[in-house]
Amino acid sequence: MPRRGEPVDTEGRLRETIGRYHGVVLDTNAFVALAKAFVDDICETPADNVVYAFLLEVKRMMGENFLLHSYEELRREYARRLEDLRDYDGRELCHACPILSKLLGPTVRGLCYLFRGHEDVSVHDVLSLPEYSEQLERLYRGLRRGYAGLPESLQGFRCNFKEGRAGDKHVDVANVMMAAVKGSVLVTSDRGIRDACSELKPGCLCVYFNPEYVDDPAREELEFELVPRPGGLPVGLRYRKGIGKFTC
Amino acid sequence: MKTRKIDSWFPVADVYRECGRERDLGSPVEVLPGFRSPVALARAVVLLSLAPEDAEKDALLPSLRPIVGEPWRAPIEVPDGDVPRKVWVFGDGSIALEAARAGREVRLAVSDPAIARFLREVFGRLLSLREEALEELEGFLREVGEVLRGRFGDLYGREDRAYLWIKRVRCPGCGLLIPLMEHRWVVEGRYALEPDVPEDGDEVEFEVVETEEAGPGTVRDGRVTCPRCGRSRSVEGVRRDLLLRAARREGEDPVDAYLAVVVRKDGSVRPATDRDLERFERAREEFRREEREVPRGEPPDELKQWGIWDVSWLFNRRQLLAHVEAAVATSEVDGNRYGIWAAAVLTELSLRNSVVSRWDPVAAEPRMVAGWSWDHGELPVPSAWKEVSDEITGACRELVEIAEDIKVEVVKIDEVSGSWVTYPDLPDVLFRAWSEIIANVSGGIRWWKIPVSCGGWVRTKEPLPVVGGLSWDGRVSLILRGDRIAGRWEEIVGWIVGCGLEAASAWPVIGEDVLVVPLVRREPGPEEVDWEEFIEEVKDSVRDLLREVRDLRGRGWRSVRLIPYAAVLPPCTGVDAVRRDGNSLSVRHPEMLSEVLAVGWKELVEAVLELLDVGLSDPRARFYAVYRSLWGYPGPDDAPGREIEPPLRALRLDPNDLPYLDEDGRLKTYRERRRLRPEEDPVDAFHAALLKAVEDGPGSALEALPEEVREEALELALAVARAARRRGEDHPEAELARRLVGVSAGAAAR
Repeated sequence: MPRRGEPVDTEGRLRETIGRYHGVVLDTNAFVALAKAFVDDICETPADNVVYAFLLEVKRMMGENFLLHSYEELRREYARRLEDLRDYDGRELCHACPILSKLLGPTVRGLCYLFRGHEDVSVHDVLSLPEYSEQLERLYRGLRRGYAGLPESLQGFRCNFKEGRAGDKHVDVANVMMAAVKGSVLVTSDRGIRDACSELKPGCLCVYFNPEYVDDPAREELEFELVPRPGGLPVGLRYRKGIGKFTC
Repeated sequence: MKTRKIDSWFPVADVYRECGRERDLGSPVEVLPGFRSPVALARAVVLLSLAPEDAEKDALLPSLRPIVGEPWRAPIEVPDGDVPRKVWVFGDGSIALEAARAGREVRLAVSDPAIARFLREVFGRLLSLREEALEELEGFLREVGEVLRGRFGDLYGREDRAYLWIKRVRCPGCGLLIPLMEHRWVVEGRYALEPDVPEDGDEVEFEVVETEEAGPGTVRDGRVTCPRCGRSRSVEGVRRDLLLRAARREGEDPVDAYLAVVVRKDGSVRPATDRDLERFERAREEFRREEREVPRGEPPDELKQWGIWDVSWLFNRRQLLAHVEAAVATSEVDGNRYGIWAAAVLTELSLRNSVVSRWDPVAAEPRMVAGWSWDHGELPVPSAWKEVSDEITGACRELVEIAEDIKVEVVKIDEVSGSWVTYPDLPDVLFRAWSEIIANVSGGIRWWKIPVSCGGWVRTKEPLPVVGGLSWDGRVSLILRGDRIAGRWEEIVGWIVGCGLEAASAWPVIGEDVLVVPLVRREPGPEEVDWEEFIEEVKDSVRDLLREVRDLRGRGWRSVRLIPYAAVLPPCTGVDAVRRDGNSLSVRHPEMLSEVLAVGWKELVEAVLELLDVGLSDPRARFYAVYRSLWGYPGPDDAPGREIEPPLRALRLDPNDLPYLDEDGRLKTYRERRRLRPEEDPVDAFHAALLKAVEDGPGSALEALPEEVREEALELALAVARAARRRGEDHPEAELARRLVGVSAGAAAR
């Protein structure tokens, strides 16, 4: 990491910061954008492509071979399920939407959570780590303030997961805790999560991308922000697809 | 002697990550003198040095890697057991703070009188009076700020926030004063400089243009190019000119520079006008008018080689006048009581307001001094004083919040009789210089006395590169500075053994560039060990250490070069003699020490090449690949110097046979090369291919090479491209190498 006073090179500093982390945790929207990009005909907007390119860029920064296995897994899984839906002539009976909706289930292992070395983790196990129980309680209490309707205690939250009664809010909160425990990059487009990370300072790097940019099909760029902001980097950063460069 | 956790385990990657997080969040201690290590590193050293050997890793990790909140806020919990109540800490406020927060009674030994006085203020008055002391301090610094505003109103523009200066050198071809710029940004992505080069005359003028893309600078890839006549010179030549100018004391200012741009408080940018220059001239006049006491001290070597031989030469006349006047104002307000705090503020301020405070185009202001810089920023001192004062008091407030009921006694040790001394950095030198002026703290550190292995003592002007340490009952955990180890390796080994200690293990801390060395009292060991076993242990140790950090990326990767030292320290201090070919040889004979180190380096070279996944056979090419992987493309300030001697020795290379190796340890890039011999040297072949690729494109570059060296050159290109990727560094050479490899892969596929 650069010491105090060292010159700043935006791209190098980004690469260095992201490379320090152990993996990537994608929130539901980011994951949908990523998964959509695998299927050309449902990749509706150029913005989805930008998100996809951006995530590939994050992957590149994590180092050689990182995430590749997971993407490959996703591809294989997709191909396998598509295979099941072919008729005897080999013609496709339907396109990917229903399959993807299954794939995008929040607790699918090894898909939302992509770590170095292909770890297979479950939310429940991570949230039950005894050595971090006190800190996780504190983090959960902080996160819960921004999300009405979640169980009062971490134990209740864990039960929800175990019993499969987890909604989007559960997934968003669990993602932060997972990223904090595993020391990962958390990619999100949820402002609440971004604010929570800014306030609670969990041990993950929150990459918040502005959802307006994602929803605007005319844009070929993505604005994003890092929380905490690494020293020397500006608040607003942009990723421009095609140029493949991060700028500010 | 009970073993401790640190003797067998140190979570290098976790500590690296936490140190990075601490820097990103802005640790409270980084602006305070005497607090050198990041808190995350200090807490790792304290906790693991105190924790018993059988402590569970899982129980320690939450303290070393807190998953929520600022890392310095969570208290560390030392597992129960046989842990001493009283410990010694050497030289570092961060370690003392963490040891005290872990419930120990701490005696902090400091050799620098100014830092000792400052740390006494922090651990004594500040942490006992707390809010009351803070309010008094804030009041004092505010008062000084008001005095400064009244005194310097006319030296700076009212709306000015920062000034960008660009150093210049005369072109030997056309006489133009070439502005030395690495880039043209004033504010990255927004404002850039457009130099207006005159057809006659020698001064360049600048315009500020609003743009998203900026043109290249004049300093690139080790050469300075004149924008008028196109003549280019090596940076080394320019450095010699600057050195000569300094030696002749030409001009009043330490460097010759253009005042290019003024950044206003509202963030807008304008070119400098005659009025701005008038203000600067006025300051110069005022400085000349009466004799003033200026700070004195010896800066680090990397600045001395650019002609800055004294810290007073770090400033132009306006900066020096403002800083010295700030010191005077402090003495007038209440120098006796708060002088040491004012010295701390002035140190931080003068580090950001000097002729080597590099311009940061992201924040549009100067950054801390970190070696030489072609451009520099200047700050209006009255407003900068307030900013820095707020940072210092903010840091103190944070300290007060996190440290309650702690006991730290600061002891000023005699620097001649005590061998526990810490290496002075530029901030230390400046702090001492300002303390001498404001707080009447005398310097007096000149010589150190250290024990050596062959018996007796040696006096040395340079202290050992110790950053800090923790000790009790004959065991010590030291933090050594990585960039100072190579030149003093034998001395360090001799010193450890001379103190009756041995290294239980050693760990490089990636990114922080330090070596953590737990030392224990020497026990009578085996009389001699077999040479093969001895070197096998070194090799295994290199592999184990590399395994822990192999996934890490970025510039911190440079710290990997500390692995051989870490691997070799324990056997070289723990064993006295080895049996080799029937002879008993002393391990600590200088030749033996360098041979063992060469074994460690050889193993590291092999391992790094395996990581790069290239099959290079020629030792010169292997050296080139490993160099680019560990040191990348260093600038004149971070040239490795003597650090490259051990890898050269390991590969049995003579530096005189490598025409691309500078005397300061920099490897020339393809653009700096002349008279290549591609058929004799694979590195020359690689450079020849790159030069050909620049001229005719990468398509035919490899075909132009003699067939027998083609494959080696291609492998080297692959190694260079992969090394740059691992280091997260972009360089034209790496980019060209990538293209070369891409073309070759395409051809193979066809």
